[in-house]
Amino acid sequence: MNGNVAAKISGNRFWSIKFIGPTLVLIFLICLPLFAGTYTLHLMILIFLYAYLGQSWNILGGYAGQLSLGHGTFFGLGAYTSTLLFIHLGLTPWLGILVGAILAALCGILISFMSFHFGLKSHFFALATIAFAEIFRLFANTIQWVGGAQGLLLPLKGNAPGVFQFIEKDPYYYIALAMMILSTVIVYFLQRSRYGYYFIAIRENEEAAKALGINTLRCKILATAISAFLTAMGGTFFAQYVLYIDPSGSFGVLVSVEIVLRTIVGGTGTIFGPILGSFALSPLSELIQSVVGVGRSGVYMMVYGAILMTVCLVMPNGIFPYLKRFFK
Amino acid sequence: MLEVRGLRKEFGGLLAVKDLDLCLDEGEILGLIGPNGAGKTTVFNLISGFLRPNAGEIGFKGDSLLSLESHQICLKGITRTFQIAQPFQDLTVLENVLVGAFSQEKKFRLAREKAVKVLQFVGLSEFQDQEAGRIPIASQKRLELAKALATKPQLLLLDEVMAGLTLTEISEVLSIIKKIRESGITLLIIEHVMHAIMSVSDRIIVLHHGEKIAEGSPQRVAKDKKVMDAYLGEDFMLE
Amino acid sequence: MLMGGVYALIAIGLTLIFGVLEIVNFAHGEFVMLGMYFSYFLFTLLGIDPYLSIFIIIPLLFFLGISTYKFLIEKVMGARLHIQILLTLGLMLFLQNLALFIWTSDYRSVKLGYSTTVYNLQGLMVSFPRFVACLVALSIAAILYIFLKKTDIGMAIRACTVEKEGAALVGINVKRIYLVAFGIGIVCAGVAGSTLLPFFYVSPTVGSIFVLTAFVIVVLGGMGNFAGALLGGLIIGVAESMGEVFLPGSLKQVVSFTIFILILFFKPMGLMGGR
Repeated sequence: MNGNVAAKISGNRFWSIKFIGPTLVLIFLICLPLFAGTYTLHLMILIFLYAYLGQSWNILGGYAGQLSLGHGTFFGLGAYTSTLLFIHLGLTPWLGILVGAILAALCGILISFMSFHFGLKSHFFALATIAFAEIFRLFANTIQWVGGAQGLLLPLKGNAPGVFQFIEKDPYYYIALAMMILSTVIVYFLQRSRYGYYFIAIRENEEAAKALGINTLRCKILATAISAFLTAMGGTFFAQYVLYIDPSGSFGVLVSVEIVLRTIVGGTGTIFGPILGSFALSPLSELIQSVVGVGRSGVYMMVYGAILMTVCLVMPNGIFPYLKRFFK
Repeated sequence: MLEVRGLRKEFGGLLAVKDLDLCLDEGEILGLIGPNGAGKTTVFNLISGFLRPNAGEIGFKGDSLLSLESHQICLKGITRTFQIAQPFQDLTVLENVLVGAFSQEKKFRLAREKAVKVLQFVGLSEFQDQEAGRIPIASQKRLELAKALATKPQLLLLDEVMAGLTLTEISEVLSIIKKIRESGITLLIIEHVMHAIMSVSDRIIVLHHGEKIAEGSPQRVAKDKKVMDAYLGEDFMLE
Repeated sequence: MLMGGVYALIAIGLTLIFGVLEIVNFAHGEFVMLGMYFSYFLFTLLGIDPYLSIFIIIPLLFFLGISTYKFLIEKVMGARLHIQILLTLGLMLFLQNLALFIWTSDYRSVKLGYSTTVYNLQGLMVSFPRFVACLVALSIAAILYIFLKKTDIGMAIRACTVEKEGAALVGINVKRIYLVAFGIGIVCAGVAGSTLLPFFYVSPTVGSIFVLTAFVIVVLGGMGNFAGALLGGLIIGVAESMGEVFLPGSLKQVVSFTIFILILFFKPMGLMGGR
């Protein structure tokens, strides 16, 4: 075990491979905008964003083990809330992001309470999350005041940091990177905390967890709320980056699937899973998009479906556990 | 300490527990025996809040347990183990016990210290950092015990901790049980390994088809004709 | 309202799969879609009437169903819930977009002599094809019901629904039952698709529309509950037609979803109780 040997020699665990690797990568990523082109930055921003979203989902789906297939609900709530507040009340998205997040958290609490209070099996929660995402999408599609099917265009303010808009990609890059790191740090501390262990216990064996004094309902609701809160912030970021939101792109099935897929491929319940998954999947999806285009011919989603099935059949625990074993 | 009165549980027409009265004093070891299907685990489920009774009262130190959820009952001081070992597979042995310890100790460092001590107490320290799903079955059963102990129970419900163990392992578990009693914990034990439960219990209650058919000291119960009739056909020998 | 019968058939297939295999088949709607497409091509290429094509669709989709089981579902039978759900989800994405790729998103429909026939029953306008669809769907459901109640395999399936371990102990080959049950479930979906052809448009996304409604019905009737699915289908059929009156077109689905959510909260075991 190279890592441990290195640690023992230096007497300081910070020098173990576990930390050197990611630190080097981090330094590289921080310096990247200095020499990378616009397209690369765009790609990286999406990678970071989806890693962030995947990590947020991971808290609920990976660690607490509650499969949510409707995270688009929270993403969309974040995107629409901050955007609507900006358009109609001129509220800066820097504050709007929090409002959206709180709203999403409340929604998450509602959904999870309703699903778990009655002790329903996981299927129901998954179905309930899908149902909610669809309901929001349908309403967003129909109600003209929130843009209807055409969606909402954010008023262009040029380079306006005060309202979360930038001309250059660099600021977005760093914000996205920071978000990805933030979510990973949150998961890191969660893993070592009382609630982190409670989440895992619930995932592994809910009855046994209850027998040890864990209020499983409260934990599941908490996990949902945290996950929703973070996901919504990602939605706002997306709105501010793309400057256009629409019902399908915010609440649609595709969003939920994209979020889930990255974590599944990378490894649910692992701290680097969402990041690995995102780095693996985003370039792939860009590649497919450039070759065949999105949605039209269905190839894109077909590949996604195939990937999902393959992972389920071959690597249900994702890439990360393989890598971990490889390095041991 | 624990008072059960008129406990009754039906499963769609099948009467699993019928008018059970049970009394447990502090510091006692009460053994619950009976042929398979007698309703013993159901009684555990009812006491620990995993099932709701159709009728009856369950009181713990004066308070009724009927309105409490299973996790609340654990926090009140009653912890149960499961007949089939249910470790948290992806966690290490230590982390498994840690989950239990967290119910008493909010801080990670302190909870971890407690967990280590519990592992030493039950003799599982060597497995500390191994994945719980990978240790031998006998150790997994010991782990069940450790997890429960980490919650600092006043009353411990043990469900067939000795099933499938070798004679050596059984005597190890017996000495652990004695240590548990010495530390002040009251015990209610379900067991099929007759010689073990007879040797360690202060009192025995025998269940058959959900009803209490005998109660008393191990010696008296062993000689009870009703008990022997109930076990006829089962390959258990009462000593 | 007559759609309720068709909904019921789809739901019955879904609930059967859930009852026996405990798997939520997210790809169920796609098999409805495939049934529609197969019948469509049987009609346009070979001139076979959709209702007659059912005799071909049944074995075809049964084969498709057991293949799906053998190559995909079987592999995750012992796995965690997530993996099972995600597998069927992946299958749904794959099938839906495969159809999109092969047949494009063009809406197709079939015009038969009786497609637009409407009968006037004492002031109530009854669309002929819808009526036949409902009739066929309910007949199939009835046949299936008899099958489950009277035949050996049927009873074995019911045994597995209630108590798998017990079933295995009495010598039932549970694995084969899984295979058969899955196949039957898929057939239900496919046949429902065929019955829809005369009056409903065909497109790759047709499946999604029906699968969500099917889920609502299954939950409404109690997951794994045959009669519940039947009853639920009829109820939803009625609810939707009433909803159509009050709500604009695209919001029709909201009715189903709202019912779904309400059931989840108030009667999660369904109207007729769970498994």
